[in-house]
Parts: sequence; C-alpha cells; structure tokens
Amino acid sequence: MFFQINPSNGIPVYEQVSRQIMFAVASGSILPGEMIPSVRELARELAINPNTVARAFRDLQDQNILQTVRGTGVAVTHGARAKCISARTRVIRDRLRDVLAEARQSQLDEAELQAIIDAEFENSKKRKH
Amino acid sequence: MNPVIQIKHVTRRFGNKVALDNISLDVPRGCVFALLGENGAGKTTAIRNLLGLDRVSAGTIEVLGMNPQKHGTAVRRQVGYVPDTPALYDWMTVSEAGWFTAGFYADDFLPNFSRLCEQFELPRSQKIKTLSKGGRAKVVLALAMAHEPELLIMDEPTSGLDTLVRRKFLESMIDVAAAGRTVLLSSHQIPEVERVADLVAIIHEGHLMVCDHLENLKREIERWVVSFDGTELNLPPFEAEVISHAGPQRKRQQLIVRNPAPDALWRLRDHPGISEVEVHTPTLEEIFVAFLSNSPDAGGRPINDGLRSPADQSSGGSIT
Amino acid sequence: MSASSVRPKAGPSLLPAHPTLTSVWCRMGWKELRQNTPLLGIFFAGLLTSLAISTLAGQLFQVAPSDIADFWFGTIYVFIPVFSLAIGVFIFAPEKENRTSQFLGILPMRSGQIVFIKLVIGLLTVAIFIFLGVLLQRFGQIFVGESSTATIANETAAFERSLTPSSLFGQWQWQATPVVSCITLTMECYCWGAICSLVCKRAIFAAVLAGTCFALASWGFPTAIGAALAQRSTDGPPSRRLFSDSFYTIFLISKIATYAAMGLGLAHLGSRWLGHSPNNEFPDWLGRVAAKPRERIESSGDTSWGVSADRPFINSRIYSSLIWQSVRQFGTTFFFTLLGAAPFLFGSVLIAATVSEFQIDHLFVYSCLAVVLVVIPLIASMFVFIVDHQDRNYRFFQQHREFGRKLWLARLLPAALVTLVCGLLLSMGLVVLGWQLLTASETALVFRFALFPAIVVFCAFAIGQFNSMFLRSGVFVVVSVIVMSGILFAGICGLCFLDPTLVAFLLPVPLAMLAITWWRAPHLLAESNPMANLVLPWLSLGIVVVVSVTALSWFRVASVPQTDFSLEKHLSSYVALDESRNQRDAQVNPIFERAILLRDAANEMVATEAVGEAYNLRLFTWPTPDYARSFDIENPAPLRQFVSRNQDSLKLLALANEQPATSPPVLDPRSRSRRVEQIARISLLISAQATLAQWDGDLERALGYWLQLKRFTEQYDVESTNALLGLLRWSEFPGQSPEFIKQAIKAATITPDQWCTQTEYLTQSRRLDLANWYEGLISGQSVLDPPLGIQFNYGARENKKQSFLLIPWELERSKRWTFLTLEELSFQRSQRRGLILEGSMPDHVLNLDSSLYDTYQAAAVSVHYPNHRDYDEFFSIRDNERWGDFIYMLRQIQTYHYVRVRMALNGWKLEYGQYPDQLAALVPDYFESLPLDVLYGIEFAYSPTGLDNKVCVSGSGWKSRRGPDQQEWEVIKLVYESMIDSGHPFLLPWSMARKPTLASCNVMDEPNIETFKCYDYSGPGLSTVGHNLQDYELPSIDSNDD
Repeated sequence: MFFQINPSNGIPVYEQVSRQIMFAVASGSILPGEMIPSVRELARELAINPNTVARAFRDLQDQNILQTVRGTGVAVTHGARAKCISARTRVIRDRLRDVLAEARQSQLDEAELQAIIDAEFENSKKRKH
Repeated sequence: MNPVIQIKHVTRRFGNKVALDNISLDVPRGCVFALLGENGAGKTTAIRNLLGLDRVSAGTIEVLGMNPQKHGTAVRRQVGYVPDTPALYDWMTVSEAGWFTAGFYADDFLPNFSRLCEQFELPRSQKIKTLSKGGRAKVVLALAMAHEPELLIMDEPTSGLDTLVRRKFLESMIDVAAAGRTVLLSSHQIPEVERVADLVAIIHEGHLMVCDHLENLKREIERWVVSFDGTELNLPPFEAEVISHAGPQRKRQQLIVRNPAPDALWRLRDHPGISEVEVHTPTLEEIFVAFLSNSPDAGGRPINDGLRSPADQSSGGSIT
Repeated sequence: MSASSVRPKAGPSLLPAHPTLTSVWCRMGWKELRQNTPLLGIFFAGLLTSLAISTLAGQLFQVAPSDIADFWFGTIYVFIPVFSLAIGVFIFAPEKENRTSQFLGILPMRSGQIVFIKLVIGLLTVAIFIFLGVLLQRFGQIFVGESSTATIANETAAFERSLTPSSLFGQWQWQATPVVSCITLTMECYCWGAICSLVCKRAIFAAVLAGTCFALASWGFPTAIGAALAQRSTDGPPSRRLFSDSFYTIFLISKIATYAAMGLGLAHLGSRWLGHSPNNEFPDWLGRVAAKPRERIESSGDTSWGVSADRPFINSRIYSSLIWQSVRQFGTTFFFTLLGAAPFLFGSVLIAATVSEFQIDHLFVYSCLAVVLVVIPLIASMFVFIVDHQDRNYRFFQQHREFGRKLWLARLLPAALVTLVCGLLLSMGLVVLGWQLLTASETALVFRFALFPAIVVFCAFAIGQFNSMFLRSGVFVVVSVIVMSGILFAGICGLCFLDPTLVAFLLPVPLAMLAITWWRAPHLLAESNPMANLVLPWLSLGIVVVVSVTALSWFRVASVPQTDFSLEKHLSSYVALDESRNQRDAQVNPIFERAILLRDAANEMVATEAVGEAYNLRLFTWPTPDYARSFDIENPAPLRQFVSRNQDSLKLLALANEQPATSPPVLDPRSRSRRVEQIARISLLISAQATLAQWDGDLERALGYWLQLKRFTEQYDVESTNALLGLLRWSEFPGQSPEFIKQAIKAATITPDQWCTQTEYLTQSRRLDLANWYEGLISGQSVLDPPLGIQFNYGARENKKQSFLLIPWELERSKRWTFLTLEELSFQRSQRRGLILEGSMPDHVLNLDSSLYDTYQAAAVSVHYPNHRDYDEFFSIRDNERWGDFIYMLRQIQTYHYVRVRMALNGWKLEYGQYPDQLAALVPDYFESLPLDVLYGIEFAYSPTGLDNKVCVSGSGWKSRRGPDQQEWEVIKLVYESMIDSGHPFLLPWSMARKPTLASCNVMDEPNIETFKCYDYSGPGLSTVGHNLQDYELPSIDSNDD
C-alpha cells in the first residue's frame, strides 16, 4: 500500500499506520468495501512489527473504519469515508495548532505570520497545478 | 502464558571478567525481543547460554520450559539460531547443506528449506564458498528457520549485509512473529530494531540497563534541550528520572528524561536563568546512547526487575 | 492478537519428531568422508609416488628385488600409522580451524554423540589401513620372491632369544605377532591424533603433539621401563632374575593403562567439545600472542613503507620490524617444535645417561641424537609460513607490495638459525664420535661424514619451508613433509653409502625449493592467482627433480664399461629360471648350473636369498655324475664372443694388475657403485676365460685364471668365495692332475687383508682387532680350545622341565658323531621338543655344531671349557657389533679350509684311485698341517664312502617359508641324499652355519638322567651303543659360570 513509516519521528508507529490508512480512505485511494492487506502482508511490506499493524487495525476497527470479513480478511466499512475525512481534518487542525503555538513562542509578529501563511498558500496552489 | 525465555539472576564470569552480572528478564511468547548493547556487552554470551552452549556461573535459565544447560539438545531442537559470523562447510553446496542439516531434524525440514531457498532466491547447486556474504547469511537463515522453530534467535544477523538482504531478514522476522512465534534479536542496526521490536533490552558492560516495551520507552522518554542565558549554569532540581545529562555546566545542555512529572517541564521553563527548554521525542538510537552513557560503575542505576507490561493495553484511543 | 496466518501451524505443545539415528549417521558419514577424501587421496598418491621412486631407484642402482620389497613393506608400515594419525587429527582440528564446530554445536545433538559418530567413522577409514597392513603381514611374500615377512618373523625369533635391550626395542615393536602390532600401532596413532586435535585448535599443532604423545606414552616409556627390567633380568645371579616375562607384564599393563586413559580422555573432551566456551580454548592465548606483533608493525609503520622506487632492498627499519614479528610468531610455535622433538630428545638423553648400564654403542646414541637434531629443524621450518596462511596475515601485508621477499627472508631467519645450530651440533657430534672410533689416518673420513649431517639438516629445512609455504592445511604439511623428507633422506643416505659424489645430484632439489619459495613469495603475498601459486611451485620442483634424476642416471650409466648384451640377455633368462621356488628342479638343470657359474663371477649370486641357498648347497655338495656332466658346457661359442667383445675391460684388468694392492685407482675413482659394477663385469670376464680354458683342456691356464679371479676379488673387497667355487670345480674337472692340485692348494693362501669386509666404512681399527684372532686361525689353531663336552638342556620352556644330555667331547674328537634320535621331527619353535633316547628310527640327526640349540630352543646349553682365559676373551666380543664381522670372518676362513681340503681329496683320488681313509693322510703331501674346524679345533667330519643312511643336518641360517626350521630340514635332506647315494665322500666342516651361536655358560645343575644312548658311526653300517653316564669322567663344573 506504499505507506511511509518513520519510526523515529516521535509519532508512534501504530498511529502512523492508522493515520495513513485513514488518509487513504479519506482521499478515496481505498474504497469502502475494499480489502486491506492482512496484518502479515502489511507488516512485511512496511517492515514493521505485525503487532503494531494489528494494533492499528484494532484501533481502526474500534472506530468502525475497518471491519473483519470472515474468512477473507479486513475491509473498509461503508461510511468510513466520512469519518476519515473528518479525522483528517482534525489532524490537520492539530498540526496547524502546533505550528501556531510554536510561531507564537518564537515571537513572530502576527502580520508576519499572516504573510507567511498567505505566501505558502499561494505556493501550494501553484504546486497543485 | 508462560514466557518463552526466563532468565533469573544470571551471572557469567570468565576468570576475572564478568560478562553477565545478575541479569533477569523474561521474553513473552509471540513478540519480537531486541537485545541491544555495544560490542562485548555480553549479548552473545547471553545467547549462547540460552542455547546451552555455555554454562552460567550463577542463576537459572529456562527456555520453552526447559533448562538449556541440562537439556540443550531438546532446546536446540525447537530453537532456530542465526549466529554472528556463522560458520558453514564451504565445500558443500546449498542443497547439500540443507540435506545434511535435515538429518538432525524432523521430516519436513527439507521441503521448508527448499521453499525458503526459493523465497530468498538462493542458487541451490552453488557451493557455499562461492556465495557472497549475503548469500551465506541467507543460507544460515534458511537453515535456522526450516524446522519452524518456536523461538528464533538472531545474533547480529545483518551486520555487513546489503540492504536487500537485510530486507529479506526483516521480512522473515516479521513472518515468524506474525505466525505467533517468538524472535529474539540482537542487533546494532537500531533503526531496524526500531521498526520491528516489541520489547527492547539494553545491556551495558554485563548489566541490564533497561528492559521494556518499545512503546513505553518512546512514550515515557523525552529529550529536553535546556538553554541557559545567565551565568548560573546549574540545573534546578525537578521531578523526573534523568537517564543522561549531556554537557553539564554549559550554555546548552541536553537531558534524556523518563516519566517526568507533569509540571517538571514548566518548572524548568519558569526557572530564571533558563531561557528555553526544547522537548523532543528521542529516537531509539538516542535512547540507546543515553542509557549507555550511564555507566553502572559511575553510579548509574541498572534495572533488575522484570519488564512491565505496556501501559495502555486498552488504548482504543483517539488519534491525536 | 488477531493475526492471520497463511498456514496452520502446530501448537507449541507438540514437540517435533526426533530424527532417526540412521539419518544422522548417514549425514555425518557422508560429511566426514567428503571432508577426508583429500587426505586419502594424498595417502595413496604419496604411497604410490614413493613406491614408484623406490622401484626406479632400484632399477637404477640394481638393487635386489628383495631389498626393494623390503623397502616397500617398510614404507607401507611407516605410512599406515602416520596416516591414521593424520586421520585422527583431521577429525576435529580442521573443524576448529574453520570454525565449523560452531555449526555442529547448533545442531540438536549432544556433543558426545557427534564426537562418537565422528570417531567411529574415522575408525572405519583407519580400518582400511589396518586391513592393508594385516594383509601385507600375512601374505606380503606373495608379491615378492623372497619372504621378507618371514625375515621379520625370524628376526623376531632371534630377538626373543637374545636379551639385550636394543633387541627388546624391536621386540616390543613387533610383540607377539606382527598382526597384533599393526593393529595396535595404527589404533594408537589414530587415538592420539583424535585426542590432540580435540585439545588443539590448529591441525598442525595437533599433529605434532599427537606424534609426541604417541612416541612418549605409547612407545617410549613402556619400552624404556621394560628394557630396564629385562636388563636386570640378565644381570646378576639367577636368584634375582626377573625373567623376560616381566617385560611382557609391564608392557601389557602400560598398554592397558594407556588405552584406558585415551578412552577416558576422548569421552571427557568429546562431551565438552561443542559446548566449549571460546575464550577457554587451549591455544587461544597463542593466537593472541601471535596477533600482537601485528599491532607493533602497524604502529611502527610510516609513510616511507609505501615508497618503493628509491628505497634500497635492505631497509633496516622494515627488517627489524619484520624480523621481530617473525621471531615472536615463531617463538610460540617453536614451543611445539621442541614438544615434538621431546620424545627423541628424552630417549636419547636417557640412553646416553645409562649407556654403561645398557652397554649401548656410542653409534646408537649418536643416531638418536641425530634424529632429534634433524627433526627439530624439520618441524621448525614447517611452522615458517603456516601461521600466516591460516591467519590470513597476507591481507595485512598486501598494503605494501614490496614486502614479498623481505617477508620471506624475515620468516625464514629464525628457522634458519635453528637449522644452523642443529647442523653444527650434529656435525660436531659426529666428529667427536669419530675421534673415538677412528684412528688418525682416517680423519678424511671424519670430515666427509661431517658433511652429511649438514646436508641432511639443510634438506630438512628446505623441505619444511617449501611445504609450509605452498600448502594451506597444517596436516597436509606434516604428511607431505614426512613423505618428502623420507624420500630425500633415503636417497641421500642410500646414495652416500653407495657413492658420496652422487649427493651432488640431489643437492639441487633443496636449493630449488628455496629458490622457488623466493620466487613465488611476492605472488603468494599478493594472493594474485591461487591456482598458479599452487601449481607452479610443485611443477617447478617436479621439473628440477626429474632433471636431477635424469642427470644422475646418465652420469652413472655413461661410464660403466659395456658388456655384451646378448649374453646378458641369456643370463637374465637364466636368472628367471633361477628364481623359481622349486629348487629341486633347478638342481638338475644344466643350463641353470652354467648360469650359476657365470653369475657367481658376476657377484649376482648372493643378491637373492633363493640363489644364496643354492649357492651354499653348491659349495658343500659333492657332485653327482649327473651333476658333473651337467657342468660341461655344450657350446662355448657365446663365451668366446663375450670375451672377445670385451677387450676394453680386459685392458682395464691388465692395468689393474699392475697397480699396488691398496688403492684401486684404475677403476672409476668417482663412484663406488660403478666400481662394483666394473668389478662384476671383470669377474664375469675372468671366469669366462677360465671356463673357456678348461673347456679347451688347458687346466694350468685355467688355474691361473681362477687364482687371478681370487686375487682380483680380494683386492677389491668383493666376495671371493665364488673364485673358490671355481677352484673346486676346476679341481674336479676331467683331466686334472695331482700336481696342479697341489699347486693350487699352495697358491690359495689367505692373508689378513684379503678377507672381505663387505662394507667400506668398516674402519681400520676394527679390522686390526679381528686380525688378532685371525693370525691364530690361519695357522690352524682354533678360536677356542676344544670343549670338554656339550650339554643339552632341553625341554619345553613352559613346564621348565629340564633334562640333560651330556655328550662327552671325546666321542666327537674321535670323529665319531653322535646321533640323537628325535621323537618328533618337527622343528616348529612353538612345539615342545622331547628328546627320546630310546627307539630306533631310520632318521638320525647329526649335530655338527651348536646350531642345534637354535632349533631346539634349549633353555640353556652349556659348553664347558677348561681354559677360561680364551673363553673370556672370546665372549667379550660377543655382545657388540663386531660379533657379526667375526662370524663372517670365521666363515670365510672355514670356506677356505674346506675348499683346500676338498681339492686335496680330489688330488688324492687322482693319485691313488680312491679317497683316503682319514684326513690325516693328506698331511705331508698336500698340507703341512691339516686345517681344522675354526671354532672347535677338530677335524672336519669326513667319511670316504659317504653315508649310507639319510642324514638330517640342521643348520641355522637358511630361510624358509613355512617356518624357520621345517623347510630347511627338508632341503638338507635332499642335499645329503645325493651325497650319500653317490658314493662320494662326506666332508663337512663342523661350524658350517652362517651364524653359529654360542651358548652362554650357565651354572649346570646335576644331571638327572642315568643312561643315554648314542649312535656311533665309525664306519660303514650303524651300530647302537649304549653308554652309561658313569662311564665317563665328567669335568669339574663349579667354576664355569659367568
């Protein structure tokens, strides 16, 4: 599934896995009802501990984003997309909050901060196209 | 469930030198247990004792419910071992090596071995002495896994190997763990360990410095960088377990702390003379170095009790 | 955990099935055999090589086939234990060297089980060698004409009879039966190899240590202790005698103890082998010590090492570092050198210290020391490059390419110093020894001999360093060194005794070894091309060897005077005939007879044992009419052609006759072996001329030729009895006259210098000693005054029943022989022989000399002598090496006397038409004084009309296949049948046997028999006379013990 896991960046690995699955669901790369690779396959692909993958799956199952299909494996639940989108939004908001907090701490002027935000926003639009 | 490996107060001396000093740890079933330590810390000695190839001076060991010192043969029958610097009969071909080893195990050794060779893309009829280092390592791994052992012990298996081979080793470890069997890994490749390990034990000069779930360690340990702006360069007291303290009496000091009290950080930040405290999550490598800089002879505190179970089994949790 | 698996797996509670034993044995067997195959290959290759070389050398130097066969057997008997030792070492040490013991340690098998399997499989391999050895022992004589194994059996018998310690060494080695010794030797070597390889990490250490342990513990100690005990048993009064049984007891106990210790050691070490912690391995500290010098070199290095262009070859800083490292590295391994040489050192010191007690010759002591001082440089040079190979130190030196030859020099230096020291000690020892043995006039000999140790030691050094450079595995090095040094030393020693100048052809080989290592050193260091580094050196060495041997053979062959090849071919077909086992047929074959005559002159007669027997028979056999007829040559034409074609040799002979007798310069001065060949050719020519003269009817000229042959062979120190045979035949030739015979008898004199010494190195002083005896013997005296009587103590040794038979000497002096009847005519040593004094059987035994003692293996035979002075003097030389020379001299003299007496009898017959009644009749006409038996001073046994009964004569010294004595009895029966029936006289000297043994004089207990019978023969017909012991006055016996 070509996720990228960085065990050293401070975010727990299982959380990285959950997040990336959710983002994939949110962006539509994985459709509801589609099968996800098994714990073993995903662990092999990502070269991480299967327990970690299992934990991520469990989390996602608890949030009802994934469900076990008897005999076959794990699949995305229907209606998961909306949850994932909102989760993704929350993640982005948390990140922005952290950045703003840091900007505050570094005593950046509000105007400067706004200018930076606008500039980056413009740049991102360009990159998208 | 009984732990797969139980080491209780084991000491091993070689003459005057103490290789293992009163070590106790348990390896639960089905996990990937990483043993970290610098060269000569005692990892290989511990592993050899687990296999019954060495005798402890004091303490007891139990592997899969058996005492390896007494029932080494039975232990080795159920344990797969990949040694550091493995030795093979160079004149044998890969398939001959498999056939030879198959004679000592049960009947389905050979089919498994063939399957593993295919998986590792090993040429069956090539002599071992003509194989590259990576090829040899693969042969050793295949031989160790072919009898489907309950416990797979790997002693620095990927040192000196290229990335692709290392990847194969990782995948095999993951397969074994996914099948519910246990892996004991002793390695220097800390980033690799960071990916796959469930539990981590650090041995330093024969002492067990820490033995805990990697999750717990990562969650509980923080790296603080303290910047001073005045002439007062001493740290005020605060409530946290300091694992290492780098650069004392300097303008910027780094602390690796564990389980800081909720307000310890703010206390520091509020302290006059301290301009800033940066908080980072340390990598496993940083944690490792921190524990090792804490020499037990210099008054550090090794850990002698067993591991703790991961704190949040019931996390379910929110994604934050 | 809800992990999903691909495959169902067994639960952790199920144990995996145990492997079957057969599968384990099968695998281990396959692995061991695959691993040991190179060693077996080397074994057979080395064996075949040495056999091929020895055959080649034998052809080159015309060594008798039986000698070559002896060498083959000797080689194989040496190879078998050596290779079983190598297999023992190969079981464990290479696994340690290559660390594959770690692999075995991981397998789920107990260490003890794996060790046991390995040992058994190795044992099966060793069993091949044991089987080979046993086969050779039992049936080796099938492959060879003569039975060298019977020789060994006879030697064993001879050893067992004498009780001197040096014979006990051999006795130990062969034990009860050679088969047993073969098995135990091989097994012990194997076990020691296995134990030492369990202990040592490196194979070469294990090999050296195992050899030491074997030599000391299995061989040296029991022998030394047993010899000491046995020596005690021969000294001292009988009451303190421990008897040689004690030797066997000690031997058995020590063997059992050794085996028990080995078994325990193997079990203990084996159970701990695979579980061994690496830090505690035995010579690991050696590895660490050897590694330290590298650090110093690394630390002392500077950038100047890398610059090669303007640096001179001699750079003292580099050299000092390299030499320091070599010495450090060498020092630890030299410890093992000394360990390996320890048994020899120990043994030599022990022997030297107790030399007076054991009465061991200085030569033997020197030999032991020589072995030590040759083995030390051999082992030292073996270690020169081994450590570098096995530790891969070359990687370290490869950074600096210029090191190649400097490293070579530095590595060789310590070993070379050791070699130099040993060579000097060896040469000095020989010089010291020589001063004792030799007189001043032979100092030239001394210095010539002093060169030999230097050459041998140098060869040892060269061989060791060559093998250690070009072979990787330690055990291969040891084995290859043993093979090569064996060949080279045998070549040198053999050649030296034949002809010292030939050594110059062998010297290129060790020099080439040094040159090749000098040449390949840089390439080896660079590890440039492994195949080239393996193949090129051996190929080069092979080329050098081939060239040397070719040069040698060309040199040797080139200047030997050619003889007529057609006659030679003729002769060789006779030779083939001659070597048939069935001598009965050969006797009446006229062609055979002629061939024997000619071959006598060619000195080939004594080359083979079978022909030697025939030769002896010819000498002492009176010719039957058939025999005499068969002597006629039907067609002398080939002989004439032979003579005419070889005029060169005749010219040579003429020149030779003009030279003074003491120096033989006219024959080839360079090579003794070629001189011998020339002598053989010339002898052939002279005898051909004599034969032709006889055929032409010119008997006087023929006599001249026979005398010329006699002088010629005596002058050149070759056996001259063939000339005597010619004289005998000449005297029986039709047309003979008494005057000629008297002339011949007068001319056939012997002088002290003229009897053959057989070996060139018999020094002057020894000749002079024997000459002291000689003077008296020539003038007709005997060695001893006639004894008073011969007492037989017979009876089986086991029940110690002793019976006595005293035969008064007067009977013998009066030329009446004593015939003793035998209950059993079987002469097997192991059977009990009883002497029955009653009963009349048609076969009689004529006891001519004390050789009967051999066959009866009497517990003691006493010969009572009235004159102790002679006796003491005589027996004082019995126990040293001069005894053989003395006996040889006696035999020579005896033969001369015999021939003269027989010629005289022939002359008498011509004069008076019949043979004289008594030998005394010959005195005024033919002899001034009648020749007497050399040993006893009595007249020869003589009967003018022969014997009308079958006579069985026992005499020792004839070899046979089925047992030492049985066959010879049959052969002798044959001989005398012809003598008896033909109506010819019966003439036989008393001490006829080649090796008369004299009994030691022991205290005689009271005889406890009263009557005995002896058969007197004093004329035609046989009468039985009974005698009572009381009829004879027994001499006083109280002062006759040692």
